[in-house]
Amino acid sequence: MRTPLASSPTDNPDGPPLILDQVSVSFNTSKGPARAVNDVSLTLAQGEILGLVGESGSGKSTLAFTVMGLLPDGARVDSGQIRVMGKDLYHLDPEVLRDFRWKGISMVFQSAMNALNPVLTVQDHIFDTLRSHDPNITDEKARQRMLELLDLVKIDARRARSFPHELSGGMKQRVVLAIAMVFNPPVLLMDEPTTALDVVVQRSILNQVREIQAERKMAILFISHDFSLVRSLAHRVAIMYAGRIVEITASLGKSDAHHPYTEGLMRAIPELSEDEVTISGIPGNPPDLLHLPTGCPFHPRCPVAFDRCRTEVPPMLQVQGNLVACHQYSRSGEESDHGLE
Amino acid sequence: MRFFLNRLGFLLISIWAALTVNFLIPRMMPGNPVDAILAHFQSEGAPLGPNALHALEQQFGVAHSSIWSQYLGYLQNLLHGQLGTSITYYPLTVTQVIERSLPWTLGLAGTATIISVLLGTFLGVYAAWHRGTRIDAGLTTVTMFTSAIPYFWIALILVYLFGFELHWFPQFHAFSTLPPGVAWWKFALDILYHAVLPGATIVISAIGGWLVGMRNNMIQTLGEDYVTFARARGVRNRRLMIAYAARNAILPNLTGFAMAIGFVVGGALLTEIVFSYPGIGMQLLTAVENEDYPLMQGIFLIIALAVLLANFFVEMVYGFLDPRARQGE
Ligand SMILES: Nc1ncnc2c1ncn2[C@@H]1O[C@H](COP(=O)(O)OP(=O)(O)OP(=O)(O)O)[C@@H](O)[C@H]1O
Ligand SMILES: [Mg+2]
Repeated sequence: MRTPLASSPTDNPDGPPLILDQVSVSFNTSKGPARAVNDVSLTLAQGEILGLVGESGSGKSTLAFTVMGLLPDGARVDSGQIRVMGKDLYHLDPEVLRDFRWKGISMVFQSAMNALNPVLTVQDHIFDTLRSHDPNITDEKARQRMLELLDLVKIDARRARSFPHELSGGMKQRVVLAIAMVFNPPVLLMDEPTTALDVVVQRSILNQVREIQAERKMAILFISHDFSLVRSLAHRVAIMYAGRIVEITASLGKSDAHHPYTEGLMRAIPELSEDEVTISGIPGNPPDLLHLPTGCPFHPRCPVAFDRCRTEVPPMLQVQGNLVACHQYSRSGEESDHGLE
Repeated sequence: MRFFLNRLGFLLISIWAALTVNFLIPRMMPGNPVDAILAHFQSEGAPLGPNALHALEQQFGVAHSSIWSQYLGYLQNLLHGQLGTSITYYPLTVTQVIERSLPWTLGLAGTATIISVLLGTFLGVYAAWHRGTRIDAGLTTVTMFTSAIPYFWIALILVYLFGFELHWFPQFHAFSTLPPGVAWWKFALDILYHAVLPGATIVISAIGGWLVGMRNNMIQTLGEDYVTFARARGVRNRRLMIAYAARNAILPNLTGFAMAIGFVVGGALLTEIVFSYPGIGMQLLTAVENEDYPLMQGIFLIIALAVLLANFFVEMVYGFLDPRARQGE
């Protein structure tokens, strides 16, 4: 399963666990609608970890909440289709949806620090989750499941009676991960699960995610703005810019063909070469969602932009096995190899 | 348990401080309260006997013993429930006067306050859950209006409409003179009947604050990540509303509850006056009008104790509801 894009979504439950087809989402703001997710198409294959990388505000969390069907008031899906395990969450009966969420798809929130109710213990959280889907579960069974889960994320069983304020940041993150794994869902969305943690804790949690994924084989959409972290974890990486996916790539080698934005991101990673550290970024700022540039959203910052970039949104092109939305790869022979060194 | 002992210790120290302040204030007042009292009695043509004079001097520290032995005597009297003799109701003691009026105040203002807190909180939760709907807008507008009307105005309007014009409810007093030997439940109904208008005054004027406060806290907690996370996990609406949103939204309100319950004893003054209700508030007014210092002092002491006890009680509830408070110190 390395085809990055399904041509059209299906109701086939044996197909890819997560399919997004041309999904657009906007927020109602006082100054008009702001497109936070723009024409996004993605497919998550069974057992795959797909990284989703982008600057702050590029729409990663909005995309995750859209998939969960948990957009806040004032946000709406303008167009497109989403299939989770073959189901269209936006056309499910509310009670069926309530039950399907967490069993079919679960999510680790960006702010694990605030994802736990301050007045409930770890055990309360896990029991609540179990009982919401199986009201008749016995205490004994629920307890057993809880112990398995705590063991899975390597938290001492005595912590079951702890309140969130008694846990460290890393422990809270593990608890949230344990809660996400309550029903072993086939699809897991992880929204910057380690951003607020120090490097050591971050590494140990990522190793845990890797281990759990290797064992349970769920498909993971792993959101981060840390390019190097995602590169080491994911099978493929999708790059998001101003609400659009501009590249989906399995190879992040320097020599491959990439979107100019991806190249900029790769350059922004500090590089230890011989004695000097070089950090170079992308000049300029991401666009205002209320006044998106015409054509390619990246063109005002793009070093290789040309006329067409300013007028026409580039389609996804298959370039050396990657999917790249950039006009420079569709130019005819005579204008080619400009900025492709 | 440690939390409980800790708070209990704090309560005892605060009570001691309140008692001491109550002892010191009349001794630091300019002028001599005993002279004022004597003048009062003389003008009424009923001069006090030497015994009564001595008792008064004892109580207000005009006595010639050292302040320390006065203090010890004062504490000892308090232990035996002796707060001195009321001047207005002579020869009744202050304790007796308070014993007669406190139940009326607790029964009326206490019940009315609890009703407005519970009802306001419940409606606030409901309005927040249905925020943006017509029910929410209706509740918020109506209670904004009622809490903007001055308190005694509501009392006067209620008396005029339902007492004077419509004769649905009695205008004054806590009970009527019933023939002797009447069944106890008839008497109870009579008391309830008399309590409707003053009780409604308190509820109407207080409920808006609780409703709006709870609604705003609740809207805030509904936006918290732990609520969204719970919704994502499939937690059912009822549990989401109560255990996740309301349980956290109520915490900032608890301090307000403590104040409100504490002020029940002293706070129903205006209602009691409008309705000639024989509670502590009425007695305080009488005491002030008659320069009845012993009674005033006794009532202030009771009010202070009520505030402290209410605070203690609410802190216990807080510790029960919020694990972070339990752990502190
Ligand atoms: N409730 C909201 N109302 C209006 N606009 C919003 C709302 N939530 C997000 N946005 C806007 O949508 C865009 C995308 O936000 P989103 O949180 O999805 O970004 P992100 O990629 O997750 O960023 P980060 O890395 O900081 O988490 C931003 O421009 C943001 O301002
Ligand atoms: Mg985000």
